[in-house]
Amino acid sequence: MKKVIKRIISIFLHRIFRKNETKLHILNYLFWECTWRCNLNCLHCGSDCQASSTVPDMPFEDFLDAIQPLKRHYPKNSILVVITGGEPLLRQDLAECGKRLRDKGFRWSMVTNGYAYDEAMHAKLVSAGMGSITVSLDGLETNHNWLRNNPKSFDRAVKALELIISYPRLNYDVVTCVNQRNVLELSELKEFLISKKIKKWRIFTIAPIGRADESPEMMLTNEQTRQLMDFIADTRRHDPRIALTFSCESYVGDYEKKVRDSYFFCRAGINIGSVLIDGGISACPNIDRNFVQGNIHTDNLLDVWENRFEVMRNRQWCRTGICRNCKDFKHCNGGAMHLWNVEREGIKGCVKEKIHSISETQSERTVCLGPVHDYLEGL
Amino acid sequence: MKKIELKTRKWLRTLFGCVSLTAVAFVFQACYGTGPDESFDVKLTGMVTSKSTNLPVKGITVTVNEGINYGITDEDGNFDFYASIKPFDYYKDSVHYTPDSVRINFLDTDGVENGFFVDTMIIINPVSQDEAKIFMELEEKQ
Repeated sequence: MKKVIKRIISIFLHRIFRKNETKLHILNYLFWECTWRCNLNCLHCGSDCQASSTVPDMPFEDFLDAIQPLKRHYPKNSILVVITGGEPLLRQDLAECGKRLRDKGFRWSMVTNGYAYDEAMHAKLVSAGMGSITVSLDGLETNHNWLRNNPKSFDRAVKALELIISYPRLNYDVVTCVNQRNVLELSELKEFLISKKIKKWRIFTIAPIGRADESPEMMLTNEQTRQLMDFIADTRRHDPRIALTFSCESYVGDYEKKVRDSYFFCRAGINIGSVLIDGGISACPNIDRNFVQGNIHTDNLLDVWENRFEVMRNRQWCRTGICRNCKDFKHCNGGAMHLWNVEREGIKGCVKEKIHSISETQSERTVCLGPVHDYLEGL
Repeated sequence: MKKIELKTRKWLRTLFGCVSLTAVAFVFQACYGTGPDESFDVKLTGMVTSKSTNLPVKGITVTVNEGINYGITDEDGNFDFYASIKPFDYYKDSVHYTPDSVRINFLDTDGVENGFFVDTMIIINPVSQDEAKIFMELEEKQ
């Protein structure tokens, strides 16, 4: 009973917290999609980028001019610029861009496949004040190379990780896109990461967007999804050697707080913004481009952030499709924004729905959360 | 948003931070993004000149942390880069007051065009701000 009451209170407080954050919408996480070029051709790519993109890289000056107004509104170092792509390491001026961001009072970090991350690059980037980095590792060698579509990509990514963990100032994590192939080797992959002294590991399933939308074999079955949740929950409970979390890609029902540190909260447009390759102003770069709220070449970024983004801050429109009558809508608020398109036809995938379609879990849910849901429904 | 509402909401935000006793509510990571950057580093800036001529020296590599962090002097002898050095305040507030010294190397790694200088090393104590300025005079090789 105590547990149920505690859970009711924490969910209730989280809801107030989420509402408050939404009203305040403090920008502290800004993606910069600096290039569409990429040195890999991954089977599941969410951005659908190309080796030699016809879209030119965004000049750094354009981005810098756009973010200048933020300095007047936000304290120094309170905004993290997350450089993404394509593959950011293909930009010759990456270190220079990063250093200038730090000089202007922005922290910066990077998402990479690690393929071009060698000793020289490592030294350049940390000397430019890079503070955080995420590297993708999608399984052991065979499966990673298959998904990344390159026979050397595993070795290169591991080499990058070795360099990164040798520099304690860097915050880092490894991310793994779980698919039908690598879901069977997660335990082995965990042991491999631990053997490499990796401390943080984040898992997500592949969203049906970008190239992955055309490859249903990459999507986990309902049973595999539940097994994945059990694997994460079990590792978090029993294995202190590595900090494993499920990404914030979806609400997971009963597994909330068991598979990550806090309750699901899609912060797209609430704390997370982005400047896309063409200057578009949006939230996470993998969100449907038709949701773009403005453009740095014609609008003031701060003005757009303060006065638009209503579509992401009030998600009542998401009550459609499978979300229409979902009892959990109050908790997930329509789930992750990148799983919606501008036609608002319904969410493209719901992890909670997949998990709960397994009868065993449903019966467990009735026992564990039934009273909580009933109580919260009445609020 | 009205000023009073804004203040209330900010106060509420602070309250949430205190109640949770951790930053977990505010430390987040976008699905396809990185974790936060909350570590220390210091911006090292400075100038390298020739001891004999007093003129700025271009092409000197300034390194700390066994060469992982580095900067190269420009036409005016200036360099600046970021390095993982804990500021003095970090040690002052720590239970274990054990300040480390920081070794800075000045290495002439370029060709003949900018002259030949003796590789030099200095030791500084942890810096008190998030930026440290270093001025160095290098001796020319005979």
